[in-house]
Amino acid sequence: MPLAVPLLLAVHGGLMAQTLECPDDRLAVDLPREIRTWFRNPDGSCVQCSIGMCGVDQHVPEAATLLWDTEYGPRERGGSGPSRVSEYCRRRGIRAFNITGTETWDWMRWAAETGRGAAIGAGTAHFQTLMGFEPASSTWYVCNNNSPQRIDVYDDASFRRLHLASGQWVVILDYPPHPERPRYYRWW
Amino acid sequence: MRFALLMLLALAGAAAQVRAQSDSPQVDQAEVLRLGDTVQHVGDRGAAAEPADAFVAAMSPPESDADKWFISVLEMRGCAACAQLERDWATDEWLLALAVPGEPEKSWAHFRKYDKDDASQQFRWEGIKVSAYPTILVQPPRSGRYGEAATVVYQGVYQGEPQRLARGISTAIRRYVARLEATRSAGELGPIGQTAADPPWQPAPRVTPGGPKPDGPFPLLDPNIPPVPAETPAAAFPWTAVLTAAFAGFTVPTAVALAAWVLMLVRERRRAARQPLLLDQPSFDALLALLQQWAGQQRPTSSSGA
Repeated sequence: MPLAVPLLLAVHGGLMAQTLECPDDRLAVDLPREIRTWFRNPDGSCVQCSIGMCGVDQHVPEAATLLWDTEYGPRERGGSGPSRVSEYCRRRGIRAFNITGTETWDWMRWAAETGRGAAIGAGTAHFQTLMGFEPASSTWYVCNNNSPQRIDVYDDASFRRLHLASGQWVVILDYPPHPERPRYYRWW
Repeated sequence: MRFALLMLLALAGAAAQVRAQSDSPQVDQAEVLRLGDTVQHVGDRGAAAEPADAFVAAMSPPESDADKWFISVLEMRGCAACAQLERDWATDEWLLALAVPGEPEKSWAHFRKYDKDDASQQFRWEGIKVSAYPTILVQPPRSGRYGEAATVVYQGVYQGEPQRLARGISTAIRRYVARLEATRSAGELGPIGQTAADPPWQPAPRVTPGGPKPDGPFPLLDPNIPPVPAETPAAAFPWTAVLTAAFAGFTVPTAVALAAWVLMLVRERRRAARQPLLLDQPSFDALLALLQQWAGQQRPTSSSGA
């Protein structure tokens, strides 16, 4: 039975998957597929993969490079809980909101509405990246680091089950959101 | 005794109030700097909104995170001007009024720096042309209140003058917001102007690592959005000196007047072409004064006939 829940959720997400690619007005995060695939989960490091995607999106190299040995610090691999996240964020100087409990819904909405992604509990003992939220249709957009080439679409009820299956925990980087890809409009 | 105690309590309360007031700034100086030279007329009931209203609203503290403008600095490693901009932005009040690097909660705009060689970020800049560093980009908030968030409202290269950069950004936002208001009142929909991949100026060729290097730390190129109108040459041709030469013969003052005119013409042509000037303004003024003085000394000798 415990296995059936994530399986059902994955199938549901897959069934709802649409051809959705960055940049898209429905998405808060702007990460091309090629960059998302850098964060394919290599070894059970889903929390760092999810935070890493947000790190690239918000241009926070200290967070973007969590998975690898770089000048920002040694790689952080394997499973994580809130205390490990706060410990390596502190060590690397990453400002982040590390939120557990019932308020995670509000924080996820806030992140999406302000153009930020969020690393979120999604699926049993799993973390994924919240890519966006559409209030009008209560639609949630999520990128799974096991299938980073696509963006999964969930209605409110499915997303609720997905998030609760992991335990309510989200990590949001406390940095400005990315700017839109700039374009020249002859406004003057 | 009781009265004295009450008086003491009242005095202590008043002192605490004064202390609390002094803890929070009484004047938002950053907002004053952001507005620059602005005159807003308020108080007429029923009067239509005036042009300054929209600009003052745009430069006021943002209502939410989604209402913050975006300032992005594109830089490259080993660039002295980039390092100077970083230092200036940490200390200069004009730039800090626009953004406080590293302190988003205090910052009027969202502020990020990007290394041009960072492969994880290059996809963001594919739609624009950047030919010199550091380049500063300003874009509207993502709330959509000021049009498409992708719009480049300001693009400029840092020249070592913090106040000039800050005023350039504010002026661009002022012009953009005014244009936006005019467009909205005319009932036009969609983004302002036409979508174009090409910028409204001819970018200078990319500076290659092996190529000639500029003398100073700041790039000689200064592509700007919005474009600065080219100044037309205003140096008046010295007709008097030419006529004098035609009727009375070629004198030293005539030659000096012609030389001064040629110098001014060259200078204005270079300025219009956005080329570096050979002399700064004080030195140029001093040179002209010297020429005038010299011509004045020559005149009595040549005209007295003594």
